Amino acid sequence: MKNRPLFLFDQISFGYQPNGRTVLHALSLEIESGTVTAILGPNGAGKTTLLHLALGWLAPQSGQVLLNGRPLDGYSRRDLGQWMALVPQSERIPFEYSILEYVLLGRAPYLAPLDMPGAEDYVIGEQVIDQVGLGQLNGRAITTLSGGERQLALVARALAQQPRLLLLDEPTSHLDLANKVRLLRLMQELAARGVTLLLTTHEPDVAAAVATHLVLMREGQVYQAGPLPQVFTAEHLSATYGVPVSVKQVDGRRIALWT
Amino acid sequence: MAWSARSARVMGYPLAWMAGLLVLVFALSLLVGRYPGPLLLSPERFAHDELAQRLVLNLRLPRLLTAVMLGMSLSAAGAVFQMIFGNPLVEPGFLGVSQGAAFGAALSIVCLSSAAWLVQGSAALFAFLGLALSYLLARRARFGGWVLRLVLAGIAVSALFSAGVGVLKYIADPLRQLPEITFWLLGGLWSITWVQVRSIAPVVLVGLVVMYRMRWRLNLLSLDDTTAFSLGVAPGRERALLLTAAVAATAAVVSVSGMVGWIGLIVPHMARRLFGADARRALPAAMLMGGLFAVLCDDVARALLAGEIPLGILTSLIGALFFIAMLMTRNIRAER
Repeated sequence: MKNRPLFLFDQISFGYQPNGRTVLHALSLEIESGTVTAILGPNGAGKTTLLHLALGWLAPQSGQVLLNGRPLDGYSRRDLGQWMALVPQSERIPFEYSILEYVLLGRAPYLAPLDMPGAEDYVIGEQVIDQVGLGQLNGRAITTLSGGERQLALVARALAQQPRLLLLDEPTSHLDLANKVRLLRLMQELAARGVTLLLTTHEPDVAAAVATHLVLMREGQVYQAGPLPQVFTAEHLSATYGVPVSVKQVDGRRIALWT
Repeated sequence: MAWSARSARVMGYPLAWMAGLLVLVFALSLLVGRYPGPLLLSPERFAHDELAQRLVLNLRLPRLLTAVMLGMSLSAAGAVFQMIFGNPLVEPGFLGVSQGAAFGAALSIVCLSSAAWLVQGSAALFAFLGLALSYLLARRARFGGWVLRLVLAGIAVSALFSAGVGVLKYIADPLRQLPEITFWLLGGLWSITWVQVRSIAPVVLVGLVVMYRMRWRLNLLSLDDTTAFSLGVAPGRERALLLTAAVAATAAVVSVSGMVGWIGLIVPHMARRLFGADARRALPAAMLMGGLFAVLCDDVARALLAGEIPLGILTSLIGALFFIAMLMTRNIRAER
């Protein structure tokens, strides 16, 4: 018997204003537990919208989103905060929090509304800061970090939530090569520990490097979805982006080239 | 800068120090005034002089308590506004709260009566109305991001109310009503007795306690809505609760003090620079520093000249100077 999918998007449609353009059209998608799924698609295909629907921040106009077999609105916000964490594409940080203060905010789903982080939360905070490799910068204000370091701090805050499911919105878009490799390794480590990852990306090579499954989106619908080797093909990628793309194998990894 | 976080740690227990300083300054301020001579009343004199005792207990004590409540409320509300709107340049004076209160007070003086409770009630009512109008207008506006819309809506609503105040001043009886409006707009604590303290203390205390208890949540609410939501926060509901607490406390103190500006903008900045951005420290620090600032300003207002200097003028003068100094040192960050 097939396992129940961790995440199930069942025929969801969504548009940003009641009568505005529909962003997603009757989209269905299953995410299996323990997989790393990359969502790939051109700008405006609805990738970020899909993540926000997964988060429960947006509610579909029709269809439903099931987490572990239960509709999202059946969970309390705190439960959802313990289930999954979001690493946003970028975040406006208006005040000069220290890295630790900032990462500790990730403990919120485990604290009662008027509680503040305690000793255990501090231990977890320090631990995830080390895990993303910001240990040496601890104590610095977050606003003084470079774009790449900030992105790692966002990941650390998400890890402080100890989520079973990590949603990442364009996690590598602001990173230089070294930080990108660092983040991709970190994602592989998390996957090895059983965290399910769902990420959007513009870069086919990022998807090829970490993903086990691939979702190609086009105009608000899933064009192709499945295990990476079956979906990451020249034919599918070309059709997704509307430009000729070829796929080469280098050192056992697939690389997309435009021609 | 990293400077703020580091200095906060180096200083050990500065919050306790700040509280001690406030208590000390408060006690000394009871002896400051223009009786028997200019400036200080000696403790021995206080022990024997019955007039001095009545003066201290019936006039200076309630007045100083109000100054503390005023400074704490405006600073805490300023910190809350800045964090909730993710913008270090807002204070309750934005979003139509102060101008609303001014209009309410003037309206009561001109059209109803200048009975204290009516002026206060009307000021508080219109303060809330100012906030509500700004909020609704910002929701409807079709230009810019949320913070920009709020600030623009606040400017528009403030302008409407200040035009209303202008009209009321124009039609006010120049001998009876106009001086009252003018004094109210200048702000000051000279008319405070125990009656006013009793009438505003419950609201102020509840507002301060709510803000204080939710200080860590404030950090969460300063983040983007999507992120706050993903951390299990109900951004809309919690913001509304905190805003209500902030405006209620502000409206209550402003209703007896009149317009006292700049405290809510400057003090939270100073608090963040000295104690770090985390509201767990910055908010109580802002409250203590606000109380301290208001008491010191009121001391100067009472004792410097033979006639009283309106408090609002002093806080604006000092506040604006601080603000200019901070702008010059580039320590204000405003993204978006």
